[in-house]
Amino acid sequence: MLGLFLAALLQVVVQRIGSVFDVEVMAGSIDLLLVIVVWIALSSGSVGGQVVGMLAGFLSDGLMGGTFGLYAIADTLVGYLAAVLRQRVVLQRSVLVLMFAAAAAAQVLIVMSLNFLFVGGSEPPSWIAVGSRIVTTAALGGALLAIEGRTRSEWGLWQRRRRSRLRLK
Amino acid sequence: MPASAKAYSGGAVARWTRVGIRQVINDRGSRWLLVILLIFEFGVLSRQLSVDDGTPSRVEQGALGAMAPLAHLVVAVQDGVSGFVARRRREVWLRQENRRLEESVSRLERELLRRQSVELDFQRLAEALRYSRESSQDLQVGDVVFIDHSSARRSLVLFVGGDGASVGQAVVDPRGLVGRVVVIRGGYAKVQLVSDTASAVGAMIERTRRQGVVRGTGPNALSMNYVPRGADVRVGDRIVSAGIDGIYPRGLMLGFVESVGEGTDLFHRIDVRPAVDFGLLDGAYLLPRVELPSVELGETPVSP
Repeated sequence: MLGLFLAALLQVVVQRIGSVFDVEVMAGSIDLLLVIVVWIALSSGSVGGQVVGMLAGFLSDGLMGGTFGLYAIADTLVGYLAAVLRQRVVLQRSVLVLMFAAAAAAQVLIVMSLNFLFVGGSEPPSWIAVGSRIVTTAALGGALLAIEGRTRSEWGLWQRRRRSRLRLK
Repeated sequence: MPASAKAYSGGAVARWTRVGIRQVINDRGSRWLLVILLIFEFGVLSRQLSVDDGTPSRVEQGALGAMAPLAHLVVAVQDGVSGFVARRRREVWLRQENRRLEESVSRLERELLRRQSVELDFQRLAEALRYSRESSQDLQVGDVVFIDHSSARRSLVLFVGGDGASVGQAVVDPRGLVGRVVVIRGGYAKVQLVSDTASAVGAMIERTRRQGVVRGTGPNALSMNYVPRGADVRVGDRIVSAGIDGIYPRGLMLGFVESVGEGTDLFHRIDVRPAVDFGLLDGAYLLPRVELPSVELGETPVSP
């Protein structure tokens, strides 16, 4: 939940920077909430992925200002699918970065489909916006995984040292 | 069965139970959970699409309530940062502006001083020009470089440059007579002031033409001697040079009668206030010396 809160806060910051400096591509290509959804789905499973996906989706809906509920459905599905895929297929950590890219693409596809089905007639996003969103999500996910791996290894090393010290005493 | 084996088997059962529940939730329950969540989300979506009056659902209100404070916080932080940056920039700008203005004020003050000096020079030259026109004489300008105020022998030193000067030349100021040149050295001329106790000027009361001798009696003070007690003298009368001493031409202003008292049995005691304030002198003019015709004693001058 803390990660979700921080992601929402950073997402607001990104949107604000994008609106202040009039960089629409920047605001549209970064979705930190989706990165958090995929990360939690990969690390905690499908239940966590779905719940966090729904919450993050509703937050995105509240932030985006479009039809309310589209991103909630998309992020719930993405969180579930990412967790299921992670359970079914054994993937290296480096390849997991592709999961973030696939999740971004899936989210865009689901939102577009829902838009077409329920709202209708909405203009699809440009290829540049979609591409930059996929690349940015993959890059942010890769960075998050690298930080997580580094933190875990440091934590394990610290715990081993602590145990060895306790044995010596 | 030993107690440790019982505990082991109990712990294993509990662990397997937890793993089983988690597995069920992950495998089957998660699908049901997905279905429930999607139904809920589609419900939210369809309710929004079916309601035409724009009334937001509770979920939408909740999402707004969660995101609005964050947006407010971000905006407040941004405003604080941008305000700080703006204040900092303004402070830097004000410092630079202040430094620039200080330099400008300093430069203008220097310019003002220079112009004041030029204006004083201009006034001095204008007075000299006016005096030259009035006196219709060729004047020689000298700058006062030193004035002796302390000793009884009142004098000043004039720088006359390469024009040279001669002993005995009368020195005047636009306000009146200053003294006469007593020593020449290089471009400098030492002038004996009329207020010097050794100075004597042939003078007369302008109103009555009564003649006498004006002597210096101290700092900025003169006295007129040898005026008979029967002569008409009033306070405020103008005293001018009489042109009878062979040094000073006639009509140069000396001062004003300040007081008239009983002197000796024969003469008045007349105190004269000098027309020239010797403490204010920064320049003076030398009059050309007019040589008197040499007349031998006993010889009768022949009229031309």
